[in-house]
Amino acid sequence: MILEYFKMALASIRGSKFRSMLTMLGIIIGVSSVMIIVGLGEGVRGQVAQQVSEVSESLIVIRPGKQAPSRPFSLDNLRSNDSRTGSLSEQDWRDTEKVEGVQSVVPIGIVSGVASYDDVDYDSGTIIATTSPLPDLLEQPVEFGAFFTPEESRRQVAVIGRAVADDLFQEAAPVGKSLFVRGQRYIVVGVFAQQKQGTFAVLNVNNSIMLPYEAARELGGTIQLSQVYVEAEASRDVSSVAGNITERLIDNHAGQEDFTVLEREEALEATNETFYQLAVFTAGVAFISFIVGGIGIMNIMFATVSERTREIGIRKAIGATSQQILGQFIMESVVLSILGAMIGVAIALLSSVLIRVTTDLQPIITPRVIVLVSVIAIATGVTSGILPAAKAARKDPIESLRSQN
Amino acid sequence: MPLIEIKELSKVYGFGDATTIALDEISLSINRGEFIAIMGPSGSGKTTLMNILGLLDRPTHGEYKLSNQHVERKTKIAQAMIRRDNIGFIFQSFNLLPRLTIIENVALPLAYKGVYQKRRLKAAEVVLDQVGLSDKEYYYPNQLSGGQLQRVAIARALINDPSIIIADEPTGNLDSVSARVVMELLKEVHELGNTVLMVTHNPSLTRYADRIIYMHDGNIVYDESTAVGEVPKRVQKAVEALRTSTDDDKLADVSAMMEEMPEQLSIKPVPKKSKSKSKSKTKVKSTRKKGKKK
Repeated sequence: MILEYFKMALASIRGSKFRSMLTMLGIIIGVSSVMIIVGLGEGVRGQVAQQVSEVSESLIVIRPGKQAPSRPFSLDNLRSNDSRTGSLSEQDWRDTEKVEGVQSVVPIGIVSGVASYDDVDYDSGTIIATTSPLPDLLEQPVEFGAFFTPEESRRQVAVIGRAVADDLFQEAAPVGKSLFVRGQRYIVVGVFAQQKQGTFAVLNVNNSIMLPYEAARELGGTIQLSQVYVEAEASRDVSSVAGNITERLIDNHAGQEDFTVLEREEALEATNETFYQLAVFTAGVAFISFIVGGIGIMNIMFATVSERTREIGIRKAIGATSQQILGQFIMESVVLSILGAMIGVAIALLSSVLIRVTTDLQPIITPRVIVLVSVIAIATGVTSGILPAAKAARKDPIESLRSQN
Repeated sequence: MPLIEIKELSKVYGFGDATTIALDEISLSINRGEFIAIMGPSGSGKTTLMNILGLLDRPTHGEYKLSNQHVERKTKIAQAMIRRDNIGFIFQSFNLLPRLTIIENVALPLAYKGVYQKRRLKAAEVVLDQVGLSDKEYYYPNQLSGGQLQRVAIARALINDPSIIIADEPTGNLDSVSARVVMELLKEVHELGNTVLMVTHNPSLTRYADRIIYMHDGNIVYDESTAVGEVPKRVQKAVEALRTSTDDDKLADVSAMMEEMPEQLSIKPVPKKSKSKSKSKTKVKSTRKKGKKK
């Protein structure tokens, strides 16, 4: 009998294609958006995990501002990262070098100013003042030329990211050309290799212009320390070194812990926490579209039931029981939602391919997500079909036969 | 043993002053193989009787035995199943599903019985052949004429080999030629041994029946067996006799009442009414003149 209901449902959906399409729209949007968002979240998590394994285990990151490793989601937290710069000073960096068990320290200082080449400004990059161990610490190779050495720390040289080379110089290896920052001329001595996807979580190298710290200081203006990278000695326990650094810096800050010392995984997770929470939040919003989709189905099904009053009367007169009418109409909304879910899955898969091709993001749509979202979609269809179907089943055959519809 | 037996069957609609007695303690028994025509003016209760016999409606009081089984108090599901297996309906407006093909329409009662599609369509082929429409199987209802549609409906009514076929004004929407074809077909169906119950307004159609029931105000006035092919004189007389109580007659009664007791009704007596009539006539004339001027 269920097969019969299915055939009847297909026949009536075929009978009003445009309307059925509209009915499914809510489910289609719900399924595809939930799947894409969950897929993006999964993708970012995968990228983070990969990145964690790539970054040296002995890396410690010091950031300004107190940052709890995991915080409940709120709009305030989204803002706070930007407003908490400035609590790290050059003194902190120098003192960290003296902490026991620290092998090397690399500051990441944001230099205010805009780089230009050939009178063209490069707005989308960051000028960073740093020191020579940076490529080793981040395991970020230099493709052309070389990173500046400790001896060059006062020389006016620069190492640029891949994107800067492409966008500002518009060539692959502008080694030997010079760029200007605040009227000062810097010679490009190295170009980084394309940074691996996902590493943006720590520092975006691709659009960075790196200057030796000492040389950058001579520019005048301020250098804001946005991060300090520390490499612990290989033989040392990273956690105890991090603890030592914390103690030392608390002394520097007059007893106040207005900075954060993060070990490898913490650093990466804290960076991605906000994104992940945002994804969960958006997925929640997308689930609302399921509810809207369900209401859409219910609405159209109610309209269908009153429009097909006469049909219901005929079917009852020739021997359909109320249960059979109920089954037939529930099946219709089930078929609608299954079709909607299928189209939604197809759209999601297609857009995830598009996202992979056009952006750095790598959404992962697992079979588990497909099954889960489809089940939710179909459950939505059944639930929203019940009331209209019950209305159809309750109809009195005599009055239904008299109806004009 | 009669196929259908009803005893003191009543159907009452509404409450209090608005109560309408559609059927007033009717008793009737129908034997297998009869062709019964039910006649009567609108509101005489014949449609209500058909609905109850067809198990689409329930009586307020009384008994209804179908094949010696009490069916009047069965659950709706059980009644739907009896409808499906034992009763074939033919409606004035055909009532085919427009989105299904002819053969699917005919096979539909079997679908609700759970018969597989192949067997279902085969059975439908057979009955469609019986009604002479085997070449129209995959047409849709809107591609067929009224007479053909009614033959499809007859095929649908026959597919379950029902105990009784209930036809509600089967020729009401048809021209006289199609009506004749349909009636001849119903006659054949009857001759094959089916029991047919037909409601009609048209006295000439009673010639196909072998028993005529005349209803009035929820009662059976005449119940008479006749030879097939004959319109009984009593029916003709009855039709004529009962026709005299038309709406005009009722109005005449009312005016007679008003003459008798004008005060109680507080409506002014007849003479003034006639004056107003003449006034209205002159008004009509004047409007006509205006129309001409325009």
